[in-house]
Amino acid sequence: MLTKEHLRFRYLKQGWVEPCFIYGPSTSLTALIQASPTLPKHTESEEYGFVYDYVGKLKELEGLPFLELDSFVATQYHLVPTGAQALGTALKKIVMAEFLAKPPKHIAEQRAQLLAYADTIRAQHHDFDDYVAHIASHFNTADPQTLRQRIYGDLELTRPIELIRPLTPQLLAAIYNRELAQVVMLSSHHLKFTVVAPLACCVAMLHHLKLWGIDPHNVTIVAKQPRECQLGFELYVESSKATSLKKWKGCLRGLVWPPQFEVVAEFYPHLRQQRSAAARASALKKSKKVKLTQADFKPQTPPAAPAKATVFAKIIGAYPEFELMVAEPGPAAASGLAGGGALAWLTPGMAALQLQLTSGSNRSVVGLDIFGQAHQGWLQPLSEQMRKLSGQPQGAPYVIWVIAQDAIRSWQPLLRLAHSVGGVWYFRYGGGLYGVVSCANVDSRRHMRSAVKSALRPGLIH
Amino acid sequence: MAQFILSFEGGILKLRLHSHMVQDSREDGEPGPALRGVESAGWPQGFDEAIKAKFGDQQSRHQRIVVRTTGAQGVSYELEACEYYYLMRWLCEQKITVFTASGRSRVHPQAAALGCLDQAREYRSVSLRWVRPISLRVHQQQALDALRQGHGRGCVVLPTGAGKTLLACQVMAEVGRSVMVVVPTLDLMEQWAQVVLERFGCEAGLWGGGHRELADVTIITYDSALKVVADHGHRFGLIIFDECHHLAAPTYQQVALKSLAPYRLGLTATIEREDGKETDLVSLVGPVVYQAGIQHMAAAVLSPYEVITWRIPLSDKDQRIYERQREIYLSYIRRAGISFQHKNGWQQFVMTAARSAAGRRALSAYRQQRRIACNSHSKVVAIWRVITENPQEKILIFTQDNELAYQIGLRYFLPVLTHHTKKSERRLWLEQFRRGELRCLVTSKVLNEGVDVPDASVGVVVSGTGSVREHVQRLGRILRHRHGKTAKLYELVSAQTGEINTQYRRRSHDAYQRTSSI
Repeated sequence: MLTKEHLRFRYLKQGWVEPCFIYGPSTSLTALIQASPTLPKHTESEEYGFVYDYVGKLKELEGLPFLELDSFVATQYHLVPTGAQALGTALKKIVMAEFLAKPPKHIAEQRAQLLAYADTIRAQHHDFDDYVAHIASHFNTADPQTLRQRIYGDLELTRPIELIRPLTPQLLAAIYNRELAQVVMLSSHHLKFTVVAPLACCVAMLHHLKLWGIDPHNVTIVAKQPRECQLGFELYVESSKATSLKKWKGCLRGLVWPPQFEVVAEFYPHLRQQRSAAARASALKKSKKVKLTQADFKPQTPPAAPAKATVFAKIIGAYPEFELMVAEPGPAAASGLAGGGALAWLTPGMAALQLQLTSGSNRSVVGLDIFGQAHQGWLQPLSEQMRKLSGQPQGAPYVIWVIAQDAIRSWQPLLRLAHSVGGVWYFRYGGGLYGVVSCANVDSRRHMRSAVKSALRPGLIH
Repeated sequence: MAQFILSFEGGILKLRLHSHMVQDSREDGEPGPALRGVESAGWPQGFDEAIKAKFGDQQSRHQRIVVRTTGAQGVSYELEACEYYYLMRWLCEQKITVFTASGRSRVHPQAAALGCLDQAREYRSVSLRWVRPISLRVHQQQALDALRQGHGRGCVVLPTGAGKTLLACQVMAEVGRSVMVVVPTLDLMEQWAQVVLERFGCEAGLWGGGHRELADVTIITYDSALKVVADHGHRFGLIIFDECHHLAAPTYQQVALKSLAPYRLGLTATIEREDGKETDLVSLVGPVVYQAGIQHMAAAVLSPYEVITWRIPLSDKDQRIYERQREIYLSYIRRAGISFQHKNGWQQFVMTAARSAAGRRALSAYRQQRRIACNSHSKVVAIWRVITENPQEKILIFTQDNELAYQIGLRYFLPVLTHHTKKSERRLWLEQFRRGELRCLVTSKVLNEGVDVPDASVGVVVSGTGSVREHVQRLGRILRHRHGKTAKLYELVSAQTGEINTQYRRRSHDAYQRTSSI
């Protein structure tokens, strides 16, 4: 049976040449391990296991040594929007239809006969060669190898697909046409996808496309919500909100912008006011399209609230001895922080593990850019590590977490813990409210506090 | 007359003032006549200190209580749903009468005018009538008694084949509350449903693998329970965690934390975990109330057994390659200063190895040398000896990976059970194995746990991890009791390789004290 894990494994395996750690929940890891008998693996515990293989595609992701096998936790709590799942489902359907065939029934019957016969005569033979020859003669064949093929001859059929190789524009187009949104084939080498979805979903898709070897230059993604642009990957803006152009500008400003992307915004200022469908259609015709260029996203004064990633990048940039980790469900923030020296994109679970490892050394600072939503599954391991770090002696690492204003509420339990074991302070910067959590000893906290202040000066209002 | 209300919201218990109290205290500023001892803010005098003293233990593993200040409602208290049992006991100690939504109340004999309306609890009494009653064996009866003494909360550790499922059925019948049985695999879910049908004559609700049905007896997988428990965790008075060592995984812990069930039973054959998190089970389920090891039960409940270790030399060629690869791997470890004595030594190796070409070579070398040791051709050849020495016995052959399993199956014309095997074929082979029509099955890990494997008398561990749990589970597969049976577990280990260390690690269990080596 084709499972999600098979599918992912297969397309991840395509052309891998560098080692990578695949991280995921135990169920997925187990399935993955069993999906590939040759896959080297190591699982240390139920939840934080590793499976690793040669992964060349990860080169495209700029030295990110970890790959999340399965956004299990995220999808459980709908943090990764359903678009990515829909994509997976659509792909699965097509692949199942095209690549999988039911094994012929007679092979299973042959196998049953052969195994039953082998079982009945095995006890009569001490000599292995005699045993094999006996079976071969019974089934009228001189070559035992053909018999073996007869037993497990359908294995290739029941094994997972041979991927999706290469995932052609036509196939992708079919997927998108069927399940999601528009695909416009501009040329044989240039696809334009228009997928209206929350940004995190778009980013997840982009991530998948990259893994499939699709050139992201040819991908256009439309994000619905300006605020979701904080993660910093988008590209094509479509909005019906009268005020959203400014918001878009504000959100995009300050990000480390990938220069190769063309930034286009289509703005329909009158659309929102029209209540009927006919009126909206009419307004749409009249609406203006505003093309934004990179220049539009250069910092202006006064700046709107920058993304927490930007705040983090500033802090880290000012203090290169800091180590930075980005705990995000997707690689977008890591990409956005490329200029800030992010070491790795980690899932929050992995981040907890990284903290655990770092706590044994005398490294400088571990930073965690916590994304906007929290739930107990991540909160708890992170909290545990934080609690442990708080007990570190002088000179041990401490943690800085930058949490955006709208996320502070969801991280309340963690913040309460931080208050009890270390320190938390809030500051205003560039029109936004952020929280910085630092734990460990008092000297470390003082150092961190002054570091953050000087890094963000003069915007910091504490 | 309830003054405050307990509700269940998304796996959290919320204790807040009844709205009329807030109204009262806001309008006239004086507590009403029924609220003597109640401060103007609404809560009884000393309540805040008392509840924080009880549930605000900062030293405990979980942040147990959260105090929130909300506008009109004033202060409210939030606890994990799993604290329900302790909260009820505490309320009783505080002489606070608890009313349930159905109108029943637990009135303390010396109750003051204080009352709490329990809107959280939505589980109900059910009467499970035996269709096929069971008579408990001695160890099962002892386990049941221990669980009763533990107020219906605790873990029972019994070897495979010792009757954990039947014990759980007895507990379900005695507790008489709606029950959720959480299992790790879909196979186990079906097996549980079958047992419930056979013993109680009722269809259990299934949730997982495409099923979505809640019933008085609901069987659900851990993964599905994660999704469901926040919304339905208050509908079950008893929760049973089968193979409860899985529950200690950080994500799965949420199932126990968000469930309100005051009665909790954990079942496992191997409670030990590599990460030591089995200690978390005490707060999630309850302490281990009864434990009987394989040694203790051998001959009485389980079959007597012996463990036979064969050290098998590698071929010269394999040995050369093995040593070369091992040297690459070990020299990197030494250079990087990584110690595997450290708890996180392995993770450290994996993570540092990713960052340099030498590290990646070391990882690759590690995998190669391990593969040679685990999957050597000499081992495959030795299996024939096991088969011919035990011609009339039922044999289970365990491998570390599917590749080796298929290699063995193809060489000796043996059925191989892996996740590739279709369900119908797996059932057929297990049934044929049960009837003795097939006497040999090869498998990698799918039969380690969670599948009702028919009785076998010989086990062959061709390769495996250093996990004690895996090894004990594999041993348990051949120990089902049969008159006159002596089980044998063969361990095939590549001599002069690191696999010997792996073998030592996985045998750090009392079940393996009875061994002989060749």
